[in-house]
Amino acid sequence: MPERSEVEVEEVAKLRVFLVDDHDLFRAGVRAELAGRVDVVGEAADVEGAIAGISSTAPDVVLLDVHMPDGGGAAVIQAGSASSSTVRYLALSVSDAAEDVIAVIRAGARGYVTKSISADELVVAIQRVAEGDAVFSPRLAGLVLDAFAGGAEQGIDPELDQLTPREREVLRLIARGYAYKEVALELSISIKTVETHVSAVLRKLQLSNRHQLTRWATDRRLV
Amino acid sequence: MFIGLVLLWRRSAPERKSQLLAELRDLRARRISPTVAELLGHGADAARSGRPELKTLARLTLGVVFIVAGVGAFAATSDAFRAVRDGVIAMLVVLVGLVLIFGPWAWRLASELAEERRERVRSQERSEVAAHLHDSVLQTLALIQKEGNDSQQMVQLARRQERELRAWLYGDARPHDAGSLARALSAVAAEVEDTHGVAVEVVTVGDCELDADLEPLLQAAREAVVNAARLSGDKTVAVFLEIEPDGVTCFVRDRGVGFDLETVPDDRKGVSESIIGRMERHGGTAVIRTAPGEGTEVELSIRRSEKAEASA
Repeated sequence: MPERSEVEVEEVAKLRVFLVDDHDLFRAGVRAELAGRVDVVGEAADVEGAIAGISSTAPDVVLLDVHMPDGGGAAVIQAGSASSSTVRYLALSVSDAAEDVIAVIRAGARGYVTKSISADELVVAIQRVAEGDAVFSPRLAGLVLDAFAGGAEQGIDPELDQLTPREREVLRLIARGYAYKEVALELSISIKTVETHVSAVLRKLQLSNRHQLTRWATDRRLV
Repeated sequence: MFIGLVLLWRRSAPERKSQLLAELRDLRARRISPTVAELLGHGADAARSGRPELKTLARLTLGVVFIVAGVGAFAATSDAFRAVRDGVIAMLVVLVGLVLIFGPWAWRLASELAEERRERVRSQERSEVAAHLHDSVLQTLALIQKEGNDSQQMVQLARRQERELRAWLYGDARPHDAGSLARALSAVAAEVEDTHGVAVEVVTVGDCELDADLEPLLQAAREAVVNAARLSGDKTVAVFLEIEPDGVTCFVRDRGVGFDLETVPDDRKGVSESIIGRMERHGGTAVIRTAPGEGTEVELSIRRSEKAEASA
């Protein structure tokens, strides 16, 4: 998901970021990589510490590990969104397992990136999430296309349970490795429109009752 | 009789060991208590602490008394059964005695056996994990320590190890047949990663059987990935594979130097031929989109055969 050229956009006020990961080494690594580009206001190694730290520091964005003891990232999001709705969450994990991705997104994360992401890409992702947009890596786009594949089902809400052709188009390009800017160029639309489409997909992913979504996540379908 | 049963059980244990282990693992996965002892009473814990299982004994004795009473009542109503009744009563009395004497011992033995078997499963799992980590992670770490100054090689080693460990830890929820197109493409990507030291990110949507009709697409995709890895200068190659009921599409994209399609040097013309030519010979299409400095994207598509479509 490289978006190298977009990084040059310097924020006037640095974004306040909170790190949650049970691996000290990884937190230290991210902190070093982000140094000077965002303001790391705190970090926590467990769910309890994260909930307390987030409510006391009120960061713009929480970088959240998916796998942690006592409920993982989803538990932090659930507790956090009950007390404050302005904090935004970006999931960061080594796991590509579909059920993990779906679980953390449905809990309320605005994006999901893998830990192999470069520092530049991570900063762009943090900025994007802070602005309320969604961050889709190629892998997440692929997962969503897979999850929403197939025709309409009976007794479902077509508004939420299906992707529009345009959304599908955008997701396909992201899955092919296009950055948002490149997607916009390819489809002759603005970056803002790309972000609107992706946010709509995120909303569907979070709210859809499509039973296939959950079933699919645990038992990936064979076409 | 009890002794006989226990002996038989014990003797049969080694032959059935592997089967039992498999069954146990299955039971553990479903969280069902696996031992006979646990069904009869408090099982392993009580047996280990050496406390007599009075409650269980009382329960069993009561059960035997009821059976004796029932058979006795039946026999008392008919004189013809008098002899039989006497014999049966005598037998039952002996049986009750046997149960009282050998019962607790038999249960303890059974629970010990179960405990021992569980321990064996545990230690076998431990040694499997240890063996795997030794073959994979420890070997890689040793290699990295030895050849620590070649960063390119270290990245390659780390990536290969990550891939293997990930596959081992999370498994692949897709069907494990070797004939899956998605798996075949992932294998191709892994091979190119190892040979050329670039990251190949594969995203797949859907999956299908890798039949003869799809083989050209796989080969062409491989060619495209190798080209991107060798010539683009980019550190990452993005591969997207989408399998739909009526056809398969694959995109291979890099953000590298790109090239001018009109003035392709001879050494690359052949390569392009092996992608475009191969796809067209098999009824598919290949489109290459590139320009100097713009990176390269290869789009491969092929229709699925009627037969595959029907079975999908």
